[in-house]
Amino acid sequence: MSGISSILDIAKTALSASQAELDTTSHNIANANTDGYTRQRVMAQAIQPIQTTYGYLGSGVDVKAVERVRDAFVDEQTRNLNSDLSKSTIYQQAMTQVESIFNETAGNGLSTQLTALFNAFQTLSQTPEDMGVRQTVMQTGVQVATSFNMLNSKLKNLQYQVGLQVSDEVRKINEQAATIAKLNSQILANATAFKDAPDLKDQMDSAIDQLSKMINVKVTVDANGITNISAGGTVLVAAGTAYALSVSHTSNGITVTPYDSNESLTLTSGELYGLLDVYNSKISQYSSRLDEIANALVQTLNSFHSTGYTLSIGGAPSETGKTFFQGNTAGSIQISPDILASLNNIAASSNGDPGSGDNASAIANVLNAPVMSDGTSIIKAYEGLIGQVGLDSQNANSNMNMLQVAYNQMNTFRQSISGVSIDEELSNMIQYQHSFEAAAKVVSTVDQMYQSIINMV
Amino acid sequence: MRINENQLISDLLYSLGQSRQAVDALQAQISSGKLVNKPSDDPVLMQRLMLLQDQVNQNSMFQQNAGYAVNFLSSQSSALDQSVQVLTQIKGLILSAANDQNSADQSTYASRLDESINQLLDLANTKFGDRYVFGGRQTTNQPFLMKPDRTGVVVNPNGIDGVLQVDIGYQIKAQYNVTGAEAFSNGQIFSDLIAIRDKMKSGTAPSSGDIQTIDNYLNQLISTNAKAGSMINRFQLIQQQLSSESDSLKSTISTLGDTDIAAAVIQLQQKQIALNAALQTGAGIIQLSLANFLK
Repeated sequence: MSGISSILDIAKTALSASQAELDTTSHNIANANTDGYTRQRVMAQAIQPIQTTYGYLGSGVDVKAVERVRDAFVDEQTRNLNSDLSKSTIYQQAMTQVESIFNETAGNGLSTQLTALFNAFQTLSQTPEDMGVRQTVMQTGVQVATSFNMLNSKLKNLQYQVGLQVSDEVRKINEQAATIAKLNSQILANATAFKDAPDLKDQMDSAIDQLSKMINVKVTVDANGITNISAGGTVLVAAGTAYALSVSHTSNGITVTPYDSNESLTLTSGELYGLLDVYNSKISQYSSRLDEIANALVQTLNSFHSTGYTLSIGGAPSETGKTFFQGNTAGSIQISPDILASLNNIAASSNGDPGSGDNASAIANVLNAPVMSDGTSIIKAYEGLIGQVGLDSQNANSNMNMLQVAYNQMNTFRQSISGVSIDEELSNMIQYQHSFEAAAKVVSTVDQMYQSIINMV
Repeated sequence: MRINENQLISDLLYSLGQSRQAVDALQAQISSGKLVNKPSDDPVLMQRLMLLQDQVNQNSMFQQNAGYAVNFLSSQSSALDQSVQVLTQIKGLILSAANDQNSADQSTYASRLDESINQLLDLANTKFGDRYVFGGRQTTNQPFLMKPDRTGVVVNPNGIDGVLQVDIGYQIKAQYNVTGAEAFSNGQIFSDLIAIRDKMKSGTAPSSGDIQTIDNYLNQLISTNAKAGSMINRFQLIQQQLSSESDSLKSTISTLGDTDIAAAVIQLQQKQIALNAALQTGAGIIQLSLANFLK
């Protein structure tokens, strides 16, 4: 039979276990609102019993470990969703900006200008010899050219901004990879002390979460708790070493390459993928369509304009072969120097008669004639482009909302496993406090028992 | 499932955000009066509305063209009306001269005729704005020019028989002038009148052939005026057609693109009630904690 002191020893283990539990509870409450914090739990175990003549007697409680309550599978799901969500958020933000560039609902966009040009040429066909009307035709021509130029430069500027973001994003990815590599080397240097340190693991997970937002990563953790990360077909972090990505801007677009190759990464999601896609494909697609429209306008309008005759006033002969626009892209379209030189050079007449406006009405009709390669008119082609932007923007929006809901659900699920519940911690606290009080009561009972024994002597 | 405070709060914020977005979208529809405020609101409808709006714009341009044609023709028509009056006076003058046996009076008739020729010439050179209405497509050159010695009228050598046209539909043109060539027989009317004047000046009374000549010109003026009148009617009819077409296009745009205010307000109220309820219950729930009951 064991002595009274063993009761005291057992009570002592109970007191320290309760203290450890209250400690953890307090830590949980303290970090209830900390980002990336995982609630911790004390793993307690009954100590190996002692064999006595009448059987086994318990010898108290032992705190084995403080562990995180976390599900690695849910982590992976959440990270994948986060990569997808970040990509679609980038799309959505870019599309919102593209849409505001093309916003025609306010009624002062290129489509309005094109209609104004049509109207100006129609008015010119009424009174081809009127200098005021010729002035209006030139002004609306200048406005159409300027609108094209503005749209083009706004798109190019947006693209440039996205290009800056790409460089910034790669810098952040490299920083985050370096952070993870540093955490790995801490664990490597002092494996026994850090291997199971919950807060260090939280730091690691939180760093991976942030990385997964930017680039879709593959995470593997080895038996020693070392985290290796690869992304887009290359290694980002291997043990204590981070391999930096590099960015190169060329005329064909931006490529992001790994440290050991010139082949660009094969990404599928994450902010970086979204930015690269917006830069390399999405914006280019709109600006090249805009170029096509501008080019078609210049070509067809000039082809009609150059067959018409200029206004002859004061004996100067009526000439033919003058152009109205020049340039072949949205960025380079301009009113032709012929028109700037003299308003008389607007070729409204079909045969040189000053009162003939037949060519002016032919030019006006160019805007509504099926002159684009896909059989639409210039105005319809431009409106189709706006429709496309609207559709893309709507898709980007609904994709983002869908992924947001999915991510929220997964995150809620993750929180329901790992998040700190104050109610739960408080009820645990009461429970642990009662345990502590009960253990203390045992100590005072043992004390009384000692008193009784001493008094017996 | 474990539910903790952070989950509650982030869920609450998410659903409040959704409610507010819905309220915001409805508010935009109500305040602008339009269902589509940016292309992504409804890309298909947006494109359709833009195409309809283009049609309205073109249509109003064609209406404007027709309106201009009506004004131009009216100025021609009123000049022709007056020309008929002047020529009728001339006819009366010639008739009196033909019946007057006193050859000394003929030169007085001749000088009165000369004044009437001037009036007729002014009418034939009528301008609408800066354009000579009877100059055909030579609208900047005076069609009929009296020689300084008043022995004849020079017609613009570039021709005054050009046809003026405007678009009244996509690639549909319509003529909107009668030419000086048809109204004033390409200036022949002046040569003949001047010949009669010169004959009378020399003391010879006009013959019945001269009266016949004037009758012919009178008929020519009247029939040209009738032609101008029928063109006016045609353009007015086109204007009416275009205007009713425009009305129906506009009403389609309005039906498709305008906010149904009553429906939108009711929806807005529903969303507001939902938002209000979410705010109220949310505010109550996030305050609940075990901490409030522990002593």
